[in-house]
Amino acid sequence: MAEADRPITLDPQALAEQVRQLEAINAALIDRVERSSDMHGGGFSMFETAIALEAMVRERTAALENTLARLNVANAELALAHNDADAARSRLRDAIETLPDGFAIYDAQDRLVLCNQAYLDFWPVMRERDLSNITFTEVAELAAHSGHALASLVSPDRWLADRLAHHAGADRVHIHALADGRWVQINELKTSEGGRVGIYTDVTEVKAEDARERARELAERNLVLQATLDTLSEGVCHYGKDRRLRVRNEGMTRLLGLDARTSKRLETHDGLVAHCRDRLGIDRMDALAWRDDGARIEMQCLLGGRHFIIRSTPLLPGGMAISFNDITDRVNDREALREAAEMLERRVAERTTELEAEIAERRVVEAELMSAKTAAEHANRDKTRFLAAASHDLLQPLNAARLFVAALGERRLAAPSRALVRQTGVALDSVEDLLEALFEISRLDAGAITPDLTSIELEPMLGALRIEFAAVARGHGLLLDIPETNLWVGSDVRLLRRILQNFLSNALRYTATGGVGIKVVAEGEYARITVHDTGPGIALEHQDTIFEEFRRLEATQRIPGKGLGLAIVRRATAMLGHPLEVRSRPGEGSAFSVLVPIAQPREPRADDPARPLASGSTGSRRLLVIDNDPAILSGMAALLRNWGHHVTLATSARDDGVEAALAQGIDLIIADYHLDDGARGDGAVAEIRAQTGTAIPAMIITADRSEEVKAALAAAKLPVLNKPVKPAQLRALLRNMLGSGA
Amino acid sequence: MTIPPSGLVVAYSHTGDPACAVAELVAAIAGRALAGGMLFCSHRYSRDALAEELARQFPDFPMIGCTSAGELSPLGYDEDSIVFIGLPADSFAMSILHFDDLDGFEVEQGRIAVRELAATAAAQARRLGDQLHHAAIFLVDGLSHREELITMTVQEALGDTVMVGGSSGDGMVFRETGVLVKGRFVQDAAALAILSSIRPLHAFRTNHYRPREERMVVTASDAQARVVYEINARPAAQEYARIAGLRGGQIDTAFFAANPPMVRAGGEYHVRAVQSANADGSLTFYCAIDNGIVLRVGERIDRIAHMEELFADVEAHVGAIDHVIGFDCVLNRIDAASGQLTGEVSQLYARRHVVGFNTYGEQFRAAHNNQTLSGLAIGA
Repeated sequence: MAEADRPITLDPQALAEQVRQLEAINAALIDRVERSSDMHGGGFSMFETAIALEAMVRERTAALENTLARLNVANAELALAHNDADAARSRLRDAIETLPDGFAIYDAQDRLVLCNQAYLDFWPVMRERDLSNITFTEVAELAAHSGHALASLVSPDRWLADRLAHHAGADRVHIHALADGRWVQINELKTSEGGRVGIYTDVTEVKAEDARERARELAERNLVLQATLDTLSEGVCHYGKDRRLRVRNEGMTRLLGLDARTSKRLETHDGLVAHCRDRLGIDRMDALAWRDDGARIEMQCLLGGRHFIIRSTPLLPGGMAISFNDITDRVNDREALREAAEMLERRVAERTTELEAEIAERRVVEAELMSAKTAAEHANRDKTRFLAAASHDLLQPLNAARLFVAALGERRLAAPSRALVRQTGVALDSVEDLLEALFEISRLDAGAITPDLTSIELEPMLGALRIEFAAVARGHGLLLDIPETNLWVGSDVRLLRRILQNFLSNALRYTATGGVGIKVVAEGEYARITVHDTGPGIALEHQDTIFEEFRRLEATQRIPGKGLGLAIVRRATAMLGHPLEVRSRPGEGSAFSVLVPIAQPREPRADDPARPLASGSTGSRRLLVIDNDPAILSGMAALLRNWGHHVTLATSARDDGVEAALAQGIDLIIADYHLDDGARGDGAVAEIRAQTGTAIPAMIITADRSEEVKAALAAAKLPVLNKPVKPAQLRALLRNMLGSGA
Repeated sequence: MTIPPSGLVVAYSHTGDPACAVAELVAAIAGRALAGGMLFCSHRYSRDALAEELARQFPDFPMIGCTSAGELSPLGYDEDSIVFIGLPADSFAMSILHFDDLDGFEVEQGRIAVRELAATAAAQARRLGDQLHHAAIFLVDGLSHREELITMTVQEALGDTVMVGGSSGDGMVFRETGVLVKGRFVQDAAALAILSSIRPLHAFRTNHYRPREERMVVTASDAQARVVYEINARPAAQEYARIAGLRGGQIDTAFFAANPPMVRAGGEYHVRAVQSANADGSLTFYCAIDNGIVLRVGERIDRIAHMEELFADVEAHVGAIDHVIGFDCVLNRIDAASGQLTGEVSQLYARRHVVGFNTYGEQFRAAHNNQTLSGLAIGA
């Protein structure tokens, strides 16, 4: 309201005036408001209305102008776009017209959008129609019924259906033959808006080229095929459904005796049949019979005097293939073979009969041999048994006698008695030696001895020999020189020892003055063990014969000896395979060598020859002797007691007195191997050891020199002495087992 | 060879003798083909003589015109002169309708007449082509009290064709103005011309005032006579002067011009110009007033800058300006004078090819305004 500069006053008159003014103003305003919307409210109202209208018009005009402006712009752009579209359209049209192929685009509603002349050339009927808004279906129908396509001449509806289907699918290339002889390849693709674009290419030339190419290939293949066929030795031919010749090879003409001129007969099947029948006199007409179906048939027949196998096969979809195989040679060969086979059979039969007779003979001989062998074996066995028994039986009493004599020899005797005893001893020794030697030879001959080849340390053996022959050498006034060696050799302990013993005893026996010695020299893989002496020497002509039994050289006849030593050596070295050599000249001494392979040292075994220990006597010990022969027992007792030992005698482990003796303590057991009642020495030892619970030292004395016994005792780790026992041996072993100085 | 269409033919004369003046105009026209013309003359001219001369020199020539309260010639603000604006035939077509006996104006008849005129104008304009711009010039007796009604009626009947125009003046004498109707200057008359042109046309209106804060309410008035007796239930002139801040000094035309009452309508403020302060303390207005309307007193804005903006905006609409037919309220001229702006404004007008006259009121579309500069800009 009109605030103006009215001061607020309390003057009633002024107030009244103010109120009056305000009332008048109020009334005027209210009246104005009421009349403001009157249609004919006076000039001012009209003015107001005009102004209001003006505002509206202004707005409307602005909006209109804006819209017009935009419309103009849009129109301009549209015009531009139309121009562009037109330009593009022209360009497209020009472009597709330059294509040599037919080109047509159909839109998503299948209406023809654009196509070029080349397209219309394929379907000339289209030129007569107004192409605006034409659909593909209409075009296809036109084409189908215009007979432009070859297939449509035959079945227009089918062609149409196919064409429409292809068009809809638009995923493959199709080739159509046109009625005017051309070929068109139609390649339709879907466009992004769901329409179809098709390229129509004249592929006539391509097809023709293809066809030419195929024809060339076919021709080539035919040539190759024909060449292949002609390489066959068989004759092959093929007749088509019309029974006319399609294919034949060179073999046909050759085998059927045709030439260039006459081979015309083969043109028809009937001709073939006639030729075979009339000219060649085939013996089986059905071999060539025409068949329309069925399996292959093979027949052997005669054609022109030759054998043939004719195979005929009906072919699908019609026709026959026939092959002729000249098997005459084969037939002939077969005949020849058969004859040969028969002949062979005959010969075989003959030979078999002969052989059977021979075999029968041989069988007889074999039987005889067998029985001879059996007899020989029996004889051998008998001999061995005899030898064993003999040796045992012979040696037992001999052993006893030796023992007694030895015992005697240790008593105080008068000189003559002593001499007698000595002589007896010597005689017994001789007998013993002889028997031993004989037994040895026999065993060697009987093959009762199998060498047990092991690695042997030579030094202990030599040591034992040193001891053994020291006294003898001293007695002869000879030097005994056996140097030490550290070589090991591979041989049989006993046999080697025997060889060396024999050499040594011979040498000592036959050397009057000088000395005897053993030389051990390594020669490559062998150790040459030579026993050399300064004896009289052996003449060359005798160097073989000395190895015969009982052979002694004249010069040595005087010297006691049996002449068996070298015989044994010969057998032993032969058995062992050790080469034997003699080098000697009369007056220059002799050297007997045995070549033994050098061996690797090995762990010592229980039955190794014990190293000789420093000599000394055994102290008094308590000994148990078990033998089933009382004579042996008393002999052993005498001997041992002489040496100062306490001796308990028993015939078995269970004898009375054994227990008592054991209770008192036994230092050593000496047991015989073969005891009564099948008991054995090693068993007795074991029993006693078990009884006492201690491993009392034990040795076995036996006359049994067989391998089984040796093995068994070796397994039981029981030292063995063979009967007859040499006292010195026994003593040495005792010393060894009971300990030195013991 | 095509000759570019020529611009408006503007001729003016300061010669007081009508015959000589008209002869000068003719000479200046130099025989160019014109579709029609507008003529604004100083109120001092002997109207009958002038009319006669014009009828003789421009027989059957479509012309509208009126007396003024000053002219806008190619020199800018001018007086005691005749200004003639000729529309070249090669780019314009013009059709005219006259109204007289404005007091007896009947809306319906008026509407029909205007519509007929529009049809005629369209037909006549067809020779120019089909991309035409249209506008209407409306001259009306500035002393009639029927401007509002007729303006509204005419604009409504014209439809989309924008109407702009001025009320005839008589040099601040307020006795009798004349509108050229059928070869005579007539009172209580109006003339309407529809212009069609291949050139762009743009009608505009502006005023150079902005309202101050204080508001006053018309509490007693005679709407018919456009007299306000009381403002804020106080004697009008006195209250107006008080609110306008007159401290001593005369309530005179210059004062009215510098402190125009403004009314708010359509979101904008429009001047309700005071014609005179009467002896009984009432105020006579140039335009419609009524009881209860709320007025504010306006104050000047920077006229030159504002007009430059205006012309720049006009150029945005029509491109290069050929001429502006201007209807500048006489009060604007008076206020320019009291603000020492006459020279500048004249120069601006001259530069911008503004030709027309000083009015007792302006028409723009359907509204009758005061103290505006209204006009029609014609593009090149």
